Amino acid sequence: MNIKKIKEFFSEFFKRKLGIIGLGLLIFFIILSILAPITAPLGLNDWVLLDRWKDNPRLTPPEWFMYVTNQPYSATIILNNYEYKAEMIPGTNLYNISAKIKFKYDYSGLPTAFYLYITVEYYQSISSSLYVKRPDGEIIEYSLTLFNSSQSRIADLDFRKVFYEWISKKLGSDYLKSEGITAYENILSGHILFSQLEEGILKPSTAKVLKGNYEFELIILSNAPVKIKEYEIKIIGNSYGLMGTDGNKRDFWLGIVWGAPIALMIGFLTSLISVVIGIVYGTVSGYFGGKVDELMMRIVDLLLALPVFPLLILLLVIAGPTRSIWIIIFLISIFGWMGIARVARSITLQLKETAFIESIKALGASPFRIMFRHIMPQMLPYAYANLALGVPGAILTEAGLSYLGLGDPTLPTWGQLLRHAVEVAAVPNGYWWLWVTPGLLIAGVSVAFVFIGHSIDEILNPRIRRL
Amino acid sequence: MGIYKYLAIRTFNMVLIVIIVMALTFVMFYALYVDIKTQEIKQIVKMEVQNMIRESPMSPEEIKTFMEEREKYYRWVYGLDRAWYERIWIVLYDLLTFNFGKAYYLQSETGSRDVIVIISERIPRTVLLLGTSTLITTILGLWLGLLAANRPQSVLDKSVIIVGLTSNAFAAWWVGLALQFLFAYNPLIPYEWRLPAFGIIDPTKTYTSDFELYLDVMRHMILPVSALVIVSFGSWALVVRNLLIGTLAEDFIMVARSKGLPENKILFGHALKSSAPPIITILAFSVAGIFGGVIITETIFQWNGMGMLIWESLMQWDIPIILAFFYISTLLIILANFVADILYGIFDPRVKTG
Repeated sequence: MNIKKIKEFFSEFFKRKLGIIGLGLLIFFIILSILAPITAPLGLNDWVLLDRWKDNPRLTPPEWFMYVTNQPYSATIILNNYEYKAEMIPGTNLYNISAKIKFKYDYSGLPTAFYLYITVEYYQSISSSLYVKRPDGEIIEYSLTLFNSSQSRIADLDFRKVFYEWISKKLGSDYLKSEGITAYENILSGHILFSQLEEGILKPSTAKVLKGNYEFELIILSNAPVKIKEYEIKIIGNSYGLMGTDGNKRDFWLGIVWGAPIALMIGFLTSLISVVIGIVYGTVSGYFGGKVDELMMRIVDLLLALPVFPLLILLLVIAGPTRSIWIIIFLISIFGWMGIARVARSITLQLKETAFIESIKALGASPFRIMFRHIMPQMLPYAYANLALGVPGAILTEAGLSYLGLGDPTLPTWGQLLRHAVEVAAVPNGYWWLWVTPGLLIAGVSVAFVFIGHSIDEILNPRIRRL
Repeated sequence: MGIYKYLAIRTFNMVLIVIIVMALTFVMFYALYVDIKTQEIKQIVKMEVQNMIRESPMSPEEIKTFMEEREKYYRWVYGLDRAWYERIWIVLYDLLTFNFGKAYYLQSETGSRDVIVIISERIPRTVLLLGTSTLITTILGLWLGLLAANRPQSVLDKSVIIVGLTSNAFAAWWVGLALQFLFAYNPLIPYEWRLPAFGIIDPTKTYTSDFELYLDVMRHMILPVSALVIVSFGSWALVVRNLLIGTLAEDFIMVARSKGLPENKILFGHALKSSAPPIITILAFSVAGIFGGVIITETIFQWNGMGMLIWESLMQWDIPIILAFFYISTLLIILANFVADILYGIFDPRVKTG
């Protein structure tokens, strides 16, 4: 195909609305695929490591959804920008090391939990405490023990005793008793730090959010300078990121965005293998004709009579838990080439009789050369269209298999996300973000290829067009 | 070629395919078959030992030798001690008589562990779902396709093309989820108007008459059947349209028109009848595809058919059931294709008159 022909093709292509829509959708999915390694470089690794997600809220909707629907919400935020200050206290040989995280809490809802991660390196023994300064001027002190070079994880649960004492001092122990709380273990701790100090603070349902500037200051006293290697606060809200979280507390955006390159790869590779097998098979069958043709077409008939889906289920069960995405791609494609082979055969039968091929044959070209150099290139237009048209079937089949639990367990394909959605009963429970997005993306990528394939078919194959 | 010769050839073809499917099943499951039977033997021997001990106490050595003896005996019974070329006949006989042994974990509703009992109580439910949705899809597709073909480039025609191209980009089971959300769990719909989201019948209800029972089954069928119809009627209408656009341009239609025949008679009597054979062939092939959709859709709606069965057996890795599921669903689809072949013979005048 020379440049002029390519130009002609594209000018024809852009005259078709469906083609443009399809191309637009495809570009969207390609952008999504590029975004995957950029926004979440370790995404594929992290997806299966469930421990990695232990702090996240479980089954929470996306932030923007809470914002749009005007519900009181709080985002899940991670703060790790701290001001480091180390100075010697005058008159002593003590160092006062401070790390301060300032932020403005401006959400309409209360957080559900918070976690602190602290790692320090020191030479001399230290004493450390954490001061939380609230917008209403209250200061909450929590003294903590930090070990050299090991990560300390402090959760809101550790603050219960501090909260208990603080509330009983400020609001009176009678209030605590009237709420039925006799020991600090009974306190619900996740929201208190960010609630207004008034009656009702104990329950997330009655507590009112206290907006404003908060300061988390870590103060360490030591005989020698202390290096702070990590100081991070995670405030867990009732919503999360762009796509919410799933039943395993994972960032659902990660699954969505990594699903794109995987889906494109599955679709494209499967389609490519099927088209190559189909065209070679059909050409060989049609070119040799006679008994060979009869036998080869009988095999095609047989394979067409087999129900593909039950067969795939079975083969993947045999493959066992070692099944990888490559096995799935291979299996789907070896059951998807028969229709293409039939058409390739009929095209070959027509081409074989042309004067062009006859004369090449008379020049003494080998059958192999005739088939691969002169017949197959003429089938390229048909191949291009089928390359696109074969993609949706492959993606839908993989999604179905993943849904049945026969997918590659290490990859977040959209089908597996849907399986997870059904497992956590997303529809009855209203976790819409778990099933709407993956399903729409599957449909979107399929529609993109159907539209593109349809347009290519109309332009390049006017004779066998589907009209 | 007369119709009988045609039927004979088709029957021969079907038998050939069945034999090949059996051979395929055998080849693929040779190792699994041994595994299945070994499991079964172990269970039988265990029960025998328990019965023996209950009657007379035995020493551990005695139990061990007894178990080995019995295992050896059963291995001989099932042919596990023989070479593969001898065993092939045993396995083929088992496949022919639908003897798939016992399931590892699953049970039928009557409490039986026989795989064939478990599967056969599920088949009618899947056939009901598959049959109803195929019927509705076909009727709807034929009707829309006809209308579109009769007025090419009209609004209806263009929408048939768009719907035909896009609808089967959606997975039937995902559409099922969406329908559940819209019609079964939608808080905006009053409770008594909501459609049942899952199941075949309502187990909490007591039915006073058969009619009431059928009515409730139909109510439960609305959502799964709609999901299956939504994803397939479009492409089906497109196929019919493309076939009929060619037919409607032919001379005999023009003759019929010039004779002044009513439009409906031309469309349904002439055009549709002459396009029937390819339509039937395509329908037969699409049954296999729809079947794939049906089995997953069943799991969404907890429709207790073969799809639910394969879901359950995949959850528990119940190999005998997975094996039998493949075999029986393949036979069902081959049967559907065979029926379509016969219909093709009836409708195609070239076959009938020979």
